[in-house]
Amino acid sequence: MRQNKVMRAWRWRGWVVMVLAALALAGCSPRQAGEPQPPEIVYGRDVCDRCGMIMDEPRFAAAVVLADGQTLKYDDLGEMLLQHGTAARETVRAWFVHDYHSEQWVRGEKALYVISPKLRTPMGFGVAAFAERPDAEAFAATMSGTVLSLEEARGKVKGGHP
Amino acid sequence: MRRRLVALLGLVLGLAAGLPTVVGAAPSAALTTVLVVSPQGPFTTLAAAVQAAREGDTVEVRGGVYRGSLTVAKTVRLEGVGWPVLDGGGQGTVVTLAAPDIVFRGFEVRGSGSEPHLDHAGITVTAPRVVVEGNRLRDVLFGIFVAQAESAVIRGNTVTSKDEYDLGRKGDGLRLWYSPRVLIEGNTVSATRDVVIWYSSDVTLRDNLVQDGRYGVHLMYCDRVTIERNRLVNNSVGIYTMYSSGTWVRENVIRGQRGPSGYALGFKDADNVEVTHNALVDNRVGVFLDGTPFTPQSYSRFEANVLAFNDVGVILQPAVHNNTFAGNAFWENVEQVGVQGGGQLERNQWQGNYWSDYTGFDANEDGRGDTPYHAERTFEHLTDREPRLRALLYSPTVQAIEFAAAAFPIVRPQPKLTDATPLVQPPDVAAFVQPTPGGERLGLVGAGLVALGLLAGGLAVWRRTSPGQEGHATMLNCLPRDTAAAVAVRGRGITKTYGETQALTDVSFEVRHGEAVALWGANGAGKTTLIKALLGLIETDGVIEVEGQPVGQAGKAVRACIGYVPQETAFYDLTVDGTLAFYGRLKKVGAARRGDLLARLGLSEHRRKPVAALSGGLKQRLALALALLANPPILLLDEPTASLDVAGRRDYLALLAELRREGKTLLFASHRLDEVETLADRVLILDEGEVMAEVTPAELRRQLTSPVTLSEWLTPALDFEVE
Repeated sequence: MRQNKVMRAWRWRGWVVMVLAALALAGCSPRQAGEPQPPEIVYGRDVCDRCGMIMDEPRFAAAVVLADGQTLKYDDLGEMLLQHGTAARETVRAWFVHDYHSEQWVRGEKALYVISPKLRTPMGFGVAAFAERPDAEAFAATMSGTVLSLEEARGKVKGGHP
Repeated sequence: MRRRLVALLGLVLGLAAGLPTVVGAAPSAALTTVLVVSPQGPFTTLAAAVQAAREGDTVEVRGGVYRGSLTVAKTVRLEGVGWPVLDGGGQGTVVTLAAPDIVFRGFEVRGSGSEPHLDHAGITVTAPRVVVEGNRLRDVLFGIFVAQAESAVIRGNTVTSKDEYDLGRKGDGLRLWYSPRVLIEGNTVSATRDVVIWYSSDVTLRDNLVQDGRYGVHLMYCDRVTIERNRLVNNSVGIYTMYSSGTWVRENVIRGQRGPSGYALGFKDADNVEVTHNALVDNRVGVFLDGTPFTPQSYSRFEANVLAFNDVGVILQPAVHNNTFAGNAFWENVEQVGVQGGGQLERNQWQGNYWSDYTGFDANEDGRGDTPYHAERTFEHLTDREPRLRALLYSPTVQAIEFAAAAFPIVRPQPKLTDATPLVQPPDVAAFVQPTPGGERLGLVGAGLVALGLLAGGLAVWRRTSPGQEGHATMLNCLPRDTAAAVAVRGRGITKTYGETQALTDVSFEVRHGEAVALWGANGAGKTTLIKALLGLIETDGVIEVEGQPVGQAGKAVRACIGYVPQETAFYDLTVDGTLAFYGRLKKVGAARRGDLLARLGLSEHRRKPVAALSGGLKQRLALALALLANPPILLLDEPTASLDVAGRRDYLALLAELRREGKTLLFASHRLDEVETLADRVLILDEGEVMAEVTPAELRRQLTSPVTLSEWLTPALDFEVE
């Protein structure tokens, strides 16, 4: 009888340890299920994952998080839109761009894009991103540009001569 | 009336001489006018003078500071005298040249605005064929911006950007945008962001200095671009070319590119690349290749460059192929060649490069190693896969890894590349790394390169080599560095002492190409010592040069220029054929050449005999055949007929005379008058190690056959009867 009690006690303790261990492991694992985060970029040191150029201008820097968790950085919004255009094979889990004015990260899916040949960007694509529509429209008016959504911009940006 | 005629005549003469005819005056109907701007007038602003000017006029600006922006929309010459200053006051672009064929020269331009997306620049060119020359630009965001303007000339300008900004925030020193056929020449660009050439083909960049910037030159979508004789110093990246076809990079010096990537040269998705005779020194990476060549039918060649003291000489992406590296010097790079991510580079050609870590040998002295060069250091393979391991460089860990790989070859990685014919001397780069007057000096590294070039002495050698030509390497090694030089051998102050014995004392002489000079003297006069000194076999004081190359520093190359025939040659126990074949293999001389020599020297019928069975005369002919194997331009002979009988001597001298007529330079030691008279143009008389005289053979004969008086006195007391 006493032996059964002891056995039950140990079994109970075993379950507790296993649950705690599982929780601990869950805490240590990558946050696959959590919200994707934009990468830390060291400007003047990090290089673009597409063209290899040094990243220097935050307002044009962009990034994607792929389905496998890999994060890619780009020195020009156009590089990102070209690499992950509408015909791209990789699945992008999250898009990150900088608001042109505040130079803060915003989600690329919600941002608005202005494409203008007058705009000088690091790789010459002439693309800027905005968190707010009024800002995008005002900028487009001054630069003779067009306001586009992410999907529209992905289909619009082409390689080669702009 | 007469006064009018004189005035008209003066006018015509003035026009004919191309002289300005009117100064500070309103333009007249038919003349090119010079309008003068200065703080004192006649014009006090450029805008007013330009407005008053007509097409083709000259606006001469004499000193002063002129504030505000200036737009020139008519074809005029703007000439600054005494560095007039155009100050934009921190607003917009300072000068805009918007009409064809404008010449803008001699100004200081400063104070542009700071908006990068508005291209605020010191000078913006928007019309074709504009010349911007000899200006100083400072405190401007962009320097000179050529926007959709073809055939501009940007020459001799000095450009710096705004000091207060970081490199990434500065503007580009020079920027071309959709502007083909532009010449950028002799400019100095310091501490600006980049020199950018985008969407502009047929551009030439020549003799520029670009320093302390981000991208020394960045090409994108530019075809047929020539980049030559530029100096790119201490930028983040030297020349980075993307998405272009036809990039010719030659004779540039690129040093100290140590930014995040730190490429001296980088090519991404580029086609038809030719990189020749550049010095890439002390960069993070000498050459970086990604997707180059891009299309299958294009090419990428790197030839006769020096890649020295870089962290990595060349980095290639694993998939990169169809590049040729030939005749380059890989000199003391920490890692000579790396593969980003690891792998082999066998799909690229590596031929005849110099590798400073090559440990093979060159027994036949043809300038090529006799065993291949393999890039197979174990630690390099690890760093290729994980670049952060380079932190362990110079640590005992690396030594332990390399030791383990050497002890257990099974863990040794596959070679990244193999160069089957490595050079044993580096190419000569001295001609283009010499500091130019007023230019940036290379410092110690450059001096090292110059020395490296001088030591090499062989670039011309290699470049003129044609494959498959027998004996070509050695023979071409002997080409004079200065083909116009007449002197084949030069000695100055040659002195040699053995203990207390003075073998040679201050011996000086010259032997011109095609000349035959005899060293005359008794035994012990110093002839053989001098010959050994010429061959570099003994050290002496003074200077000895053979074909312009110092014997002390370039002994191998010098010996390749000389065919030496000693008094007596020690042969191996071989037949005549076997002997020639043995030395022929060392000198890479084929059977055809050996057969020719045997026939010419009368040895064909003896070719199967053991050398030991030959007479003294035939042995000496065989010695001459060996000396002539690689067809050297100079023959050095030590008492060549000393061991021959009369008939043998006559035949041998006839052979030598024939060689001399064919242009060989002969220098020979002798104490036989017939030898000297048959062969020599001049005679150096040596006595006790000193040159006592320089005479012609005829003068030598006169000295040796001067009249002798024999007197005999007959004493009457002897009571001889003389009939």
